[in-house]
Amino acid sequence: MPLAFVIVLSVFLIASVVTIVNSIDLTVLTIYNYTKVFTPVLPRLAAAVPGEEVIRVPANIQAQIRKTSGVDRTIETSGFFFNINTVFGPFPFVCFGVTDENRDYLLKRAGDSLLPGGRMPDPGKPEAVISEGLARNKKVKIGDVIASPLDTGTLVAAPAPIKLVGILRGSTWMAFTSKKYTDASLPLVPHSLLVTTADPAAQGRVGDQLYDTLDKFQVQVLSFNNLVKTLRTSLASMYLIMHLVNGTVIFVVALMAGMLSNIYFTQRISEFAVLAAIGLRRSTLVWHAVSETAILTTLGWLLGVFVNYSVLTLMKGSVFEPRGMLINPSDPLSYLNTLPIPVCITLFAVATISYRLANLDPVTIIERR
Amino acid sequence: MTESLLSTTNISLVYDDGARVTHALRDVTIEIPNKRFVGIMGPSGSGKSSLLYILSGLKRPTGGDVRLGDYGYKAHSDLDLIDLRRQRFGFVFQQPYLLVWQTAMENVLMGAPILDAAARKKAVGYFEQLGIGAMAEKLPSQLSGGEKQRVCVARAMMNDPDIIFADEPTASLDHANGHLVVDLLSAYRKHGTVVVVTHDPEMLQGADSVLLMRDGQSLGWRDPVDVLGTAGPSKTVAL
Repeated sequence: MPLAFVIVLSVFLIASVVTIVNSIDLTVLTIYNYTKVFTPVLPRLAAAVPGEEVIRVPANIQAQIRKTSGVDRTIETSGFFFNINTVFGPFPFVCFGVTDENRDYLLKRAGDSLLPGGRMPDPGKPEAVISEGLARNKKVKIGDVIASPLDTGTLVAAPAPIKLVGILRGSTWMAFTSKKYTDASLPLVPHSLLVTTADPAAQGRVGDQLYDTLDKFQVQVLSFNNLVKTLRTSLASMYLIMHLVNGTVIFVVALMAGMLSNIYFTQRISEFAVLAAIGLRRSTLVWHAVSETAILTTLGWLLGVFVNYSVLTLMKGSVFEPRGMLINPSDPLSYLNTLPIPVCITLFAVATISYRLANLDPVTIIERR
Repeated sequence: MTESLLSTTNISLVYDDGARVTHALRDVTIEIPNKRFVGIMGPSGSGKSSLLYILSGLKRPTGGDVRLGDYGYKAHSDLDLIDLRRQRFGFVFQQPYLLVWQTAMENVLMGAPILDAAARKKAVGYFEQLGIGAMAEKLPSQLSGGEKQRVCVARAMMNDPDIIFADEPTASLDHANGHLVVDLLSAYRKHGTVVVVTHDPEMLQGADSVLLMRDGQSLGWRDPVDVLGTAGPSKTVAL
């Protein structure tokens, strides 16, 4: 029983630490998940055309995009940013201004829908809809202001207080206002393109292709894979710390659990010694120890997984998400990292029994009264 | 005594740790016949347990040899002696050691040479005869000390041993349970020999004979009546 409890706690400790530490990566993936639905192409200052007030994606590049195999729509847009809470502090998130038709098209691609009680932004008004994940993150409800000209740290602040009029159901974080509003209130903000593919599954591949082929001096392509790669590179030190923490915890806890199993089986060596005395061969006894350990660790591991999932699920909405820490209690990677626990315990158990029996005279145990 | 089953020839056991030489056994020559219930008695340090370990192949003597029929221990390896213990001997120790995560039935079946339906049937029979039929599927932690020791007796009988060796089998039990266990062992003499080491003379009331030991030497076989000062067999249980 104590060993089973140790296994449960060890699995809980490792899985929860890995899950929480991986919150950084999950935040990155969640924030940029919209680039799996469409690929934003942003004009750089080099794309400015003398005499024209608005910077747009150059016509030749637009033509190149439309010729790219698999491309469906190129949606011109501009937008403003609002801050969201993340594990690394306030982070700007974009709200795109798109036509109603394009907005509905993008929502359909993402599989999102409007939650009851809300509505879509009226054209030309300072209103927005955001995904439920963003609403939870910002702790806002319909009617609240989600962005303001006074927001600091954003790339392009909202031109006026923006009212939340609807919340979107779906796992992809997105925010939309009307194109009429952004065109009217942000006339000088560069106009980007949101590129979509006919086959939604091809979005990642086409995004990467645009990233590789378009003139990087004139446009910036936000393809999912490259965004994640870029961010991971810029946060390399943090990721290194993250992996070191994970590795250290796994190593220490697995080793400690293994050593505890060594103590546990050492305490029970008398049982095995007596069985050796009555004529059971060492291989038989080792097999008994292995099967006992296998049952124990399997049950302990399953219980540990259940405890971790339950505790993190309970704490997810109340503790982590309000602080901008996105966690996934069912992350398979975190449970994969707990596998060294049963492996270590089994190895230590087998080694303990094998070594003790090889060096033990059963009589010394029987005589120990 | 006749029809010798187990015999020793001048066995001795000497411990030499470099600083001191201890003679645990000195030139012990005995014969133990088949289908007898015999006791080995003596004061603490007399060598009675050492003799039992050597008779059962758990320990090698430093001199002399032990023979089970024509089988001389000296000529065989430790692995051979492990097989001998498993195939022809049964053991009951002072502490009722059982695998804690296995049921009483599974523990008893560990003593069976072959795990088959017949072995299970036989184990069920022992559980009933030993009065622990209801305990078969319980874990050792759910059993009393006396019940655990009876499980050990059942385990010792599972391979139909020629000899059951019992080393202080009642020392950790209360009086009633101690008598019960000895009665169970005593009844086994219909099938084979039982060798019991004990410091409690009362537990050998029903023995066929008692070997007295002192200072590592055999003082010879005695009639239990002479040794214990009382007559009459104890209650036996039919097996």
